Amino acid sequence: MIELLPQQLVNGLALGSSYALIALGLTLVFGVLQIPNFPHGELYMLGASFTYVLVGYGVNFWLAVPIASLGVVLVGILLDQVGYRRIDRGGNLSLMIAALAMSTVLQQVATLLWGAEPHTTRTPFTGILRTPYFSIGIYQIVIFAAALLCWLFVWLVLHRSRLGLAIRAMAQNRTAALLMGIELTWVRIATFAIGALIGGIAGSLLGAAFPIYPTMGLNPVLKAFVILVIGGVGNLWGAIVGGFLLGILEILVAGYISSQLQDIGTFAILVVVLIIRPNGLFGRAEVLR
Amino acid sequence: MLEIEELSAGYDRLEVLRGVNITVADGGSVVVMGANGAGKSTLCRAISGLIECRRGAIRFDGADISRVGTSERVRRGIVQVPEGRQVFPQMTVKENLRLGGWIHGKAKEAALREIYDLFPRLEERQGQNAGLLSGGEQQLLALGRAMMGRPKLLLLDEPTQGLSPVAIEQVAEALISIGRRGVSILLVEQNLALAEAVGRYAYVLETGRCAAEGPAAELLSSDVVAASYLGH
Amino acid sequence: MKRLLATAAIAALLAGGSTVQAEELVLGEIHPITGPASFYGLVMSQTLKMNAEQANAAGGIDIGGKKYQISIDTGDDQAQATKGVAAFRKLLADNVHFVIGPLASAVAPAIKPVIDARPDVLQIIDGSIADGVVNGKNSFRVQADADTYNDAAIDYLKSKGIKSSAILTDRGHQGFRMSEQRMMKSLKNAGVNIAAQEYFQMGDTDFSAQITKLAASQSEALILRGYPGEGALITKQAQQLGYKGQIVWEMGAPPSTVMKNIPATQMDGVVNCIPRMMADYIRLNVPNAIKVADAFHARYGKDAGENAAFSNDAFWILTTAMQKAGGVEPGKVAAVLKDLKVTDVPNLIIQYKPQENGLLFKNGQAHPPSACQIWHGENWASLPGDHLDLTTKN
Repeated sequence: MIELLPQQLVNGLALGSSYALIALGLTLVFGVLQIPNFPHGELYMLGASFTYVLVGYGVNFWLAVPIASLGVVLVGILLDQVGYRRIDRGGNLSLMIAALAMSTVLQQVATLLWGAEPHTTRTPFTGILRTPYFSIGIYQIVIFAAALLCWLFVWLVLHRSRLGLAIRAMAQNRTAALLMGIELTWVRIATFAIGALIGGIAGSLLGAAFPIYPTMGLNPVLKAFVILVIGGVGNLWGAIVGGFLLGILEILVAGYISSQLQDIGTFAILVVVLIIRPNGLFGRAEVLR
Repeated sequence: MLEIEELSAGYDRLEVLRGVNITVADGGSVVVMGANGAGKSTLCRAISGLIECRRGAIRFDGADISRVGTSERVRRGIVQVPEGRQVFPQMTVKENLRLGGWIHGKAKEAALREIYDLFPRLEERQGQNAGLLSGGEQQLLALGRAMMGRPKLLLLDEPTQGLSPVAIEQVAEALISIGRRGVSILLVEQNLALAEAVGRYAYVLETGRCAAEGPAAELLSSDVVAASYLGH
Repeated sequence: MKRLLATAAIAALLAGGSTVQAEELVLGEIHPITGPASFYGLVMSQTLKMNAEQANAAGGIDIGGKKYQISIDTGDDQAQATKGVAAFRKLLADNVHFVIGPLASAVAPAIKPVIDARPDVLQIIDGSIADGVVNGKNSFRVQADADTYNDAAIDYLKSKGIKSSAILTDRGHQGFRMSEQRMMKSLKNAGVNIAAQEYFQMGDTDFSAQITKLAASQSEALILRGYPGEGALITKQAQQLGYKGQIVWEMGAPPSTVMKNIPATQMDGVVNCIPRMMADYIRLNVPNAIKVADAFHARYGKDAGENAAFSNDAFWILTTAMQKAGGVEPGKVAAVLKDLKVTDVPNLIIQYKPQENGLLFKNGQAHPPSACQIWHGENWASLPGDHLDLTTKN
């Protein structure tokens, strides 16, 4: 079995990059605005669905990805303005309920628009890279690269732009940020836009690897919340590393213990991390740095 | 410069300020004293627009700003140093200062230079995370950050809270030098020494109302102030 | 004004009274109308409604000298056990005594205790292949049992002389899980070695850990038991990870669904062993199948889907039994079902294998024939030598 290890680790990295991609947008919104944005899974689903529709109309895949992702950005901003902004002072419970409600609404709308039958966008790369130790789809490498690029993009925005300075200020101390003259409205819009953009890109790309259907975002978003706990809420690098860790761990559990225990493994590590490092492996709120 | 007339404000069903009248003249330096719970911080929050003004009016440079948002008030020149310093702990000193000048666009080196000249300590620490500074240094940073906003009126909410006597002295010096630059100051403070050093006119706030006012030198040495402090 | 209203009211009453009031017969159904499985369930519900409309348009169904107008009371189970029980109780509260469904293998076992306790309710299952949900007293099933699926696959392995196989099963699928032990036994008896056995779950997107292990086992065949969304994905990932053996599906997999999830070329050579379904009967030119497919297309503007055949048959089996019983008392109708012959029922799409004495049900279970097909181009194709005997009225 040990001779399968390189392949299983590569499998884990491939799975992990999809987790990381989804966790990235979620951790940003949660870290900055303290909103448990469950509908992030639906933004992911919409990214996938928009791309599928566009490709169906003959649009080139690589053109469809940005168009679909921008469409998701609009939905993301709308989500905040309609769903969260007004109840911002209502407390965590109301935010949570609003989040779950909007998840359901988006799922139902998607069902009405596109039905519940699973479908998959045509993969633009079907090639496979084979080495003596492992083989991996070219498209999985694309997704791996996309996860790192998205992380880099968000990092640059947060740390090398004026907007990023404002977002981080708002995340660290909302009152002080307001007293600096920063307007919450714009920071909200920008944060949701970036979060949705990453979610949209994730869906857009992964919809060519995984089946697309209205509730496809449920599972990934749950995993992403686990990653948030592992990597620390608001911690971008934690989302990436946590995603890879979770992916590899799940694969190792399925590959070396039992595929019946795959999910149990996920939640076992969650509990262990919570006991040993309650603030996540990398501490809380690194987005602040 | 700042005229507060019959201001009432509070949180939910709790009315903390009940008809407060305060005036700060151009270049003036005013102290508001009061026991805990008298409404000092609420006053600061209301002036900055963090909470709404329920009744009465706040006028600044002749214009009614009671319904204007926080960001716009900052733009017009009302900058606050909030209670407990509230620096951005996981950002560098320099980033904190840049945020202070947020409303003026990209921070210019010259503006930073001015602050560093005022507080040389901050320049030494410019690359360090603000959360790692001592309490006194954080307070200087909060002051410097506020100065980056080029205030016409600097609002200070208990800047000496939790500071050592040495640090309090530093803050006092800084405030005096800021006052000399023509910036109006509204200082909310419990520390008599600082109040006396900075304030020229004083108000005493008691359960949401102005209980007394007068030139700082007279009022602060009078029985009224002593009485208002016996409460806590 | 008042007088006008009064006149209108009287006129309405008279109008109502003057039409002949036909008897109404309510048939309940439990299918996933919303949620992830609605793709399978909705067409089943639509088939039932279409059949009812057609029967009503022809003046209703004549039972014991009375003309009955059929209406369908829909319970949406979303393919979830709790929702299914709730939907079923709602039907009972509506005073429904005949239930068609459910589809989901998660739901059928959940409502079974209620069915067992209610002899005044008669159920025909048109979907679930779970074990032990049919009692032959007041619950019957036109869908195959899980063994029919498994046996078809095992027969295929035997015919190809395959000596080792890996198995990958949807662990949430009651039917496949429950029949696992029996399948292992049958495989052993057929001389097939089980090289590896792994699991996944509906909604999973990554199977690489399992496939890596299965591929390392170098089995000659890989049997996939589950739903086509995952089936397509596993097939794709198996090729990616270099699995070389014969892939055998056990799942209802309309080509349209398959091709929405995997490029057709990557499906080439995959074999699917299942009870024959709608598309099969259309391809084999069974007249009833073509009739229903055309009507469905005309009525709803889309294809009927694989499971329409089961719902269609359940409808006609139930109403035929009522006609033979001469009434709509569930106990009597159930008694007739036990003695119903395959050739008694009109409009059947599935060509059930007659049980002893030509009966349709044995202990409540009908026997739809199964077959293996091979993917070719953009569709399933019959394996060489495949043929079908028409066993029902067409």
